[in-house]
Amino acid sequence: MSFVAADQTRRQVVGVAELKVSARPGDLLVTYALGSCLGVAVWDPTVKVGGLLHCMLPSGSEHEELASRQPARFVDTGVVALFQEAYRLGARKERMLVKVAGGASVIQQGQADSFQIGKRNILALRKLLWKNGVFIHREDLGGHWPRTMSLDVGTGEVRIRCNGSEYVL
Amino acid sequence: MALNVLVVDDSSVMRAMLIRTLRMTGLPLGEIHQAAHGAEALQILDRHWVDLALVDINMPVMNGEEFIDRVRDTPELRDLAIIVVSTESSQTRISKIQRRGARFVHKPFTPEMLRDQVMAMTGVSYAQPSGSGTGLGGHRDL
Amino acid sequence: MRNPLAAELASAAIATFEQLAFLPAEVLEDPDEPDGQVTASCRVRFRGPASGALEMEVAGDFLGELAANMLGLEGEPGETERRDALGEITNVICGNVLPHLGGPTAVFDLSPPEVFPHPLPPCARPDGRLAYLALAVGGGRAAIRLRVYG
Repeated sequence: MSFVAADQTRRQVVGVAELKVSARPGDLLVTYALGSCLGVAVWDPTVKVGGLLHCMLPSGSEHEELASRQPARFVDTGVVALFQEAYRLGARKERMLVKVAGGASVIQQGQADSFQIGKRNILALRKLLWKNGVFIHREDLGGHWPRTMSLDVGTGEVRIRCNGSEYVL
Repeated sequence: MALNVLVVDDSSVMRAMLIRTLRMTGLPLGEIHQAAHGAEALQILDRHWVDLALVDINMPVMNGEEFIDRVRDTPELRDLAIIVVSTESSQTRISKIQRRGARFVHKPFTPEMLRDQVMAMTGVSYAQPSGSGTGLGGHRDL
Repeated sequence: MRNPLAAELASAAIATFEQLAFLPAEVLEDPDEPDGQVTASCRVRFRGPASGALEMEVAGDFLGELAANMLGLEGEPGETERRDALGEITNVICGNVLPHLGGPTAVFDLSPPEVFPHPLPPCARPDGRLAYLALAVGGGRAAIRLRVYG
């Protein structure tokens, strides 16, 4: 498994294609440079367990070996791994708050976003959650700017930094 | 107390989507009735107590606009909570629907858009998240 | 896309496929009419300040995925669900494009979708095409026409 167990420090950086979960109220999970990638934060308010995923591509179905080695790389395998890891710390599906950010259309040098990875990531996430009967509680999706996303494990507060402004999601 | 719901749409797939979204909200649901048009819905209302109706506009036999008029003109039914879920885009028609005390969700919608209107109409705050796993069955990824 | 109505049709169709069925859709720049590969079709007639029909013909096998996604199913949906899913998608696209034809206050009535397991039967007044586009949707393609009569 590719995700990294949270250590003793307060700020836990979640890298690209990684996920982290925590049950320690002092922990702040942070992920940077969400462009077309998706950041998915889950939090169970009863047991105060939280997790953050930074996934890159919609589906691991055509990359089985990579998806099993690094599930957080893909939306479909990454979100499943995120929920499973949160369950191991006592979270329950029916209490889970899901907040998502990213999925931008990042256009470089005036070129069209022909692969539309951000949009495809968003659709893959919505489809997975719909099939599993889970709502998105809050979202900050699309646009053209990269985002930084953080989750305060003690309070469940998710903050987004994007294009010079910062706000609570 | 459980909410009895009536879902009125001539598309069976759309009725299934609406019922799935209602189950996801975690609201305590009682009986769930389905009708393919307004006339069938009125027959159901004649025989069953319903707390909330989700209603399409363009349907055969009796459309949603006429159904709402009939409900509002019937003393025993006039307070029924109604959410119109429709592809209707005419401001004229939407305003009329809203003046008759119905909320409006435009198709296409996300599950969250419908959830927000259902929660607003039923007065239930969304302090607790989805009632996911409440009898939806089938898919077991999460 | 030079025809503004075709652009609105594209916008309505893409939003409908994506929001109701989680299927990425994009406009094909070379919108050849589909040939004998059409596997299903649908027509939704409308009446109001203008009368006509929205027509969709689909090629390739994506109706199963369309219906399964809409219903949130993992398994294969039946024929009834596939037809109903195509009908509902066509209906929603039609309702969303009509304000661009008649203005935001115009009132249109839509007939129930007519779904066929083959190409569309000929239209009584085939001359009324106003906008046409082809979309790549999931693993297939959809040709969408807006016809307005009179």
